[in-house]
Amino acid sequence: MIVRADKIAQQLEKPDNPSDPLIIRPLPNIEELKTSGSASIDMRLGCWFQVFRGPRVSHFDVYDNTLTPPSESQLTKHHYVPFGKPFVLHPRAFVLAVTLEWIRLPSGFAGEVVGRSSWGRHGLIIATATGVHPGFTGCLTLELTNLGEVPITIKPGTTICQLFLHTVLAGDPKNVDKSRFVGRRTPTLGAIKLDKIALKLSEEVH
Amino acid sequence: MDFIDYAKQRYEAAIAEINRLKNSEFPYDQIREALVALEDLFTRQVSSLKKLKLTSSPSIAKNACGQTLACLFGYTPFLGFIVRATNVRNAFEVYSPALRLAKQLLGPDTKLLLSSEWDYSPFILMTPELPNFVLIGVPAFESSNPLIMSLAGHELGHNAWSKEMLGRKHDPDIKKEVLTALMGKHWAEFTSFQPTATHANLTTDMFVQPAWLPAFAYASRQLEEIFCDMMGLRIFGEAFLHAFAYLLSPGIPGERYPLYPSVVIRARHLEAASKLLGVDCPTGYQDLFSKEQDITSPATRLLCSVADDATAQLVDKVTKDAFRIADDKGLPTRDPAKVQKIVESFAMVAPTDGRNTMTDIINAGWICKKRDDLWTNVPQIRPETKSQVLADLILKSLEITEFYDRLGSP
Repeated sequence: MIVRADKIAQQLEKPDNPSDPLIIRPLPNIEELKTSGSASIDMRLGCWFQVFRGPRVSHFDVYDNTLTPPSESQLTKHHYVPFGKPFVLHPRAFVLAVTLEWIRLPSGFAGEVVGRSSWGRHGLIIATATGVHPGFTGCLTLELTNLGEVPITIKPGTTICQLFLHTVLAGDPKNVDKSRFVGRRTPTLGAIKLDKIALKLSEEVH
Repeated sequence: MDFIDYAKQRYEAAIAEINRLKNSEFPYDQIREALVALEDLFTRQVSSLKKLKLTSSPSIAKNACGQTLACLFGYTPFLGFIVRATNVRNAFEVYSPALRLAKQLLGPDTKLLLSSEWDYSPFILMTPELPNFVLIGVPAFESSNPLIMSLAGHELGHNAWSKEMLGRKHDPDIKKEVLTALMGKHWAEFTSFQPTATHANLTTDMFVQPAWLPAFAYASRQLEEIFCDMMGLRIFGEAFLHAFAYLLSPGIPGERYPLYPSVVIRARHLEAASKLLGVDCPTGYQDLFSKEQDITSPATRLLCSVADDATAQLVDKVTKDAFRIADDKGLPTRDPAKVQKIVESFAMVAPTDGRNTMTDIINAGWICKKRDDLWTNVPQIRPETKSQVLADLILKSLEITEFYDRLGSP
């Protein structure tokens, strides 16, 4: 069930379970949340970006186990854009960014990151991998791409996406998200790991 | 004259490189301002070289070219420092609160550069041609570690020492204490090196003076180091003690360096001053450090002992100076209640909200760092990622402070 903004405000002010609270920092404007009538919470663009080093990588092939997978620093380069400075996203460019807000989801909540339609209509797509699991804590990595025809200037601090929160059916509160993306303030590329089935199916049959 | 042309070409090459660097990505504007200041300095040097063509005296021209070459030698490492200040390995979120601290201590015109250095010892650069710039370098592989940023208190202390002209203030006392130590328990040994020395001619005989003046220089530098330690302790409290031990303990094997107090003595002074400030110094703090080996050269060893004795007499004075200056400038000191609140936030694996001082945030970080049970009940955080997560929480908390600062929040 999607949680309405006034309920989110309530959770932020006075969590149902103080030992496992919903936390968003910097704290959004609680009064605005209470009266917005929306079912999401706006997220701002953070200061860190991660740009792919296209010229240094021939291709990306997770199936070729004869190759050592390239490290994150081989594939990408971090950029820090301070408040007040622009980042220009050119048409067809793809970069990782991060939310300004640090989110901590309690075990009873999951989230979904969605772009803002106002940006989307200008060609800016915010996120493709949108699920945020219970227990996640950290800044959310965003996948930004400009599908429009003209370059787009963005600055840290701009509201760029929205987070929908869902309540999840009760389970073991200790069974929470343990991904490597947890607890980070910068965008994280992560590695693609194939499961046994995918590995088996990816083998060529002669 | 070829050497004039060479000198000009060297500067033109340096200016061309600066112009290339001006197109770099700057995490804060003061890096670009430092480049522009350097470009101005080099351009002035080129102008003076151009005027030199008119002179007919080769010796004057050679001397002038030599001076400009010395300037280039002196400022090239500074250019490297500026370039490394842009590297994303640096903890850029520290910059804004560190600048605020520097301005509070040194004045509103202060410009700060934080950089990562291929030099293990954190240091401060002071450049006469760029008087408002404070440059603090930390070891490259620690430059993303916010926990050691409390050592910036020590480094800023060097600027305060210079700005407040404390060297000049304490020089007479240092000289007096050096002479007292020399004429007291060290006299017999001193006269074995300098048989012509008498109590009467110590300060008047031009052949005797050079024999003991190094002790004065050692004591002066040692006292400055102690003042800086006290400034770091006053601003950052426990976080300074931990960072000092993290970076320096147990000390580097080998001979004592006479321009620095022994690391054990520094630790002892820090312990004593902690009591004055109500700072909780870890039990057995001094024992974390090892005494350096004695200096091999008997004469230097003697002068170092004289300096140590002289310095010991003046520690209280520079400690009071550091505390007074920090108080007068309204520098923060850690607020235990606020630190505890931040610790509670970090324990939830969340940064703290609102405006907080760098002092409180880094102290909270150290408390968490020292807790064996930190996040043992948080399955999301794997043991091997704890340090990285803690660093990110500290840095995010500093960024959130800047966020509220920019909004003008109380």
